[in-house]
This record gives sequence, C-alpha cells and structure tokens, in this order.
Amino acid sequence: MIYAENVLICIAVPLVISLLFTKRSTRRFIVSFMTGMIVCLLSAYISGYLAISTGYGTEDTSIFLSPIVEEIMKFLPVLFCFFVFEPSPEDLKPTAVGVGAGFATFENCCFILSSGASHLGFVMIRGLAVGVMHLVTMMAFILGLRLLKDYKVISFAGIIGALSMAMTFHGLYNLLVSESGISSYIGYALPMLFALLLYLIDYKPFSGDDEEIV
Amino acid sequence: MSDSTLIGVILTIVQVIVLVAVILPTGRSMLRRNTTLIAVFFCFAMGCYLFSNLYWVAYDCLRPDTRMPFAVNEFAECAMILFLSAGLEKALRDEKKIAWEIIFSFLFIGAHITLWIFWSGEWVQDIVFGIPYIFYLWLLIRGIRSRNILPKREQICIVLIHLTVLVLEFIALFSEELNDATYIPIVVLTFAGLIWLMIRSIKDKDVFTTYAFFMFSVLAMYSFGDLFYDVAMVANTVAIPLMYLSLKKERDKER
Repeated sequence: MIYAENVLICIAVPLVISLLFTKRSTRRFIVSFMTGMIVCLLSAYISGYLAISTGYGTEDTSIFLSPIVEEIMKFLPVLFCFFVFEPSPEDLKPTAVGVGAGFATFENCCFILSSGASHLGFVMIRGLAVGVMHLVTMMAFILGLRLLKDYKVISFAGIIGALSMAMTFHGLYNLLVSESGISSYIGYALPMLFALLLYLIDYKPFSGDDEEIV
Repeated sequence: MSDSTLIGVILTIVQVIVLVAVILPTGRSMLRRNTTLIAVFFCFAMGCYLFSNLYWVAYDCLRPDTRMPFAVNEFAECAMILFLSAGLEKALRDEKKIAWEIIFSFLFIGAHITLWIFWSGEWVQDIVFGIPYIFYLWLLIRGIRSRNILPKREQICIVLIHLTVLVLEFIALFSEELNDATYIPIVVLTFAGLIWLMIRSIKDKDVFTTYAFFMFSVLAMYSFGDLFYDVAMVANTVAIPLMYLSLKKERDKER
C-alpha cells in the first residue's frame, strides 16, 4: 500500500516554493502541473468509490469507468480556465499540457511506488504509453476547442464532443492494454502515433489565413 | 468468436474504412478553413463515431460474445448525435416553432427509449443518451418541412410506417404468442422505410434527408439483433457517404 497523499505533498512542496521565484507563463505551467496531480488523486478517490458502488471490480473499473472519471476531472480545470480567464489559444496550451503532464507524472509515481521500477523496459513503456496518452487527450481536447473557437461555434455539443473523443481514446487504450499480446502492443503504440499526428496538424488552422468562412 | 460476432466485426471494420474516407477530405478542408459549419460539425461527429467503432472492434476481439457494460463509446455516440444536431441547426433556416413537431419528437423518441429500457434494462444510460435524439428528430422535421423536400403524402406515409412499427414492437414486447406474427411486419416495414429513405437520399442529396436516413438506420440497428442488425448496419454505412455528398451539395448551394 502507498500513501498517495504523502507522495503528492512530497512532490508538490518544491513546486509551491518554486512559484516564489517564477513569473507569468512558467508560474502558470507549474500551477497547472500541480492541478493535474491533485486532479489525479481526486480521480483515484472517485474511481475507487465507483468500483465499490457499481460492483464492477478493479479491472473492469479501470477499463470502463476510469477513462470517464479521469478525462472529466482533467478537463474541468482547463474548462474553468477557458471560460473564466478567456485565454488566447496560445495561452491555453501550456495550461492543458501542464494538467496532462502533472496527471501523468503523479499516476506514474504512484504506479512505480506500488509495483517497483526494477525493469527499465517496463518503466519506459509506462512513461511512453500512459504518460503520453494523458498529454495526447489534453492536446486533442485543446485542438478541438481551438478549432471550434476559430469557427466561432463553441457550444455545449462542441465541448461534450471534444471531451467524449478524449474519453473514447483513453478507454480504447485501457481496453487494448488490458490483455497481453498483440493488442497491448497496439495500445502502447497508439499514444505516440496520435502525439505525432497532433503535432503534424497542430498549427495549420491558426496559420493566419483569414479566408472567409462560408 | 461466434459467426455473428465475426460478421459484426467485419462490418464495423468496413464502416471504419468508410468513416476514414469521409473524415480525411472533410478534415483537410476544415483545417484549411475552407468549409461550411455543418461540415465542421459533421467531421467532429464522424470522428466520434470512428472512435466508437474502433472501441467496438477492440472489445469484440478481446472479449468476444460478451455483453459490453456501460463504457466510453456511449459518450462518443451521444456526442456524435449532438454534433450532427449542431450542424443541422446551422443549416436550418426556419423561424417557425410548431408545437406538435416538438411533441411528436418527444413522444416518438420517448417510446423508443422505453423500448430500449425494456430490452436492455439499462435505464439511466438509455434515458441520458437518448435525449439528444429528440432534438435531432425535431431539427429533421423542421428542416424537411421548411425546405419542402417531401410531398405531404409521403410525409404522412413515412410517419404512419414508423408509428406502426413502434406499436408492433410494443405488442411483441408484451404478448409472447403474437411475437412471430408481429416480427415479420416489423422487419418489412422498418426496412421498407429505410429503402425509401435511401432512394430519397440518393435522389435529393439534401442534408435533412440523408441525416434522416442515418438516424433511422441507427434506430433500426438498436431494434434488431443478429442478421437484421447487420443489414441495418450496412444501411448505416451507406448513409455516411450519402451524408458527405449532401454536405458537398449544401456547400455549393451556399456559395
């Protein structure tokens, strides 16, 4: 058993202190990173509660319910930032990346503490797959929001749609890696492939082309 | 893996290929900011549907012949309907809001949701994820009326067909002895309605007709199992490129 709250405090304290010596975008990134870690802990609480109340079992909860809980929890702070501070697309990106990276880091820390880190290969897979997956879902969400904002069609449907895409991607990953064999290899490769795809299409809609939308 | 699951997986993979084929050109013009708003929403909707289908394929391959519990793909399908509705809303040029249209949509989809609950027992998700269909159907009715796409006689005919199917489905649900006698008319009427909508979609290439064809093929998929589910899925796959073609026509019309 690990004490996730203690791990969180241990990682967060130096970050809190670092806020005294940083400014603007760096400070925003650090706050987002810490928010991501806190959100990860809260998601674990909620998933644990759902596992008991629905009777799904630990494995089924992690495959079917955790993606829903984790993605909603990750998106809440970003949505808050998006609607309350109304940042430009460029300012929103570090926030989303910070939340995703903080979430992935804290989840990996807890996982390694409970399962051990003796095999470098296993740890690398964990970092490259799960770590990247949390980043990819956040980036996809931001890209979706930015596209909708660019077309001036931000709506309930748009937000739910972008969120559900991220949830389904996360759920697909969890489902694929739940079984050993070829499906797990596909699952491990999926986040990196999507990260590459998102990187390739990232800036095209905001390239300054002011063609009229019909 | 049983034969019916295998056929389902193959049909879903075919649908994935069709979805990729329509998402790529729509997505490309969307990123170049050279498209209509309805096409933007269509692209997002089909993206959701693609993820849902991939999830189905992965699930059926990893856990064949087991019933899928509540999972993320339900959100994706709900989001797809919301995106398609948002797109239709942008294409709709109708100021009139006639009360019976919203009442009809509510009752029609409400009856379907009731059937889904009886069939699956999953009442929370059937209600929550069924609600967007009410809005979607309402937009379709308003669009078809305001654009005069269908003659009055055909409108009455299609409404009667779908109401008869609904009544027969309820009869089949509650009376065991009548099951065989009601099942054949349900199948015949449902697929006759779908074929008629498909012909109309090919002929008119109007967004409201093609989107209606898509929705009724989804409802048909939810109503049947095994062979007829597969047939409805083929119709659903055919509806996707028809929707894409109708969007191209819509774009040309707006320009």
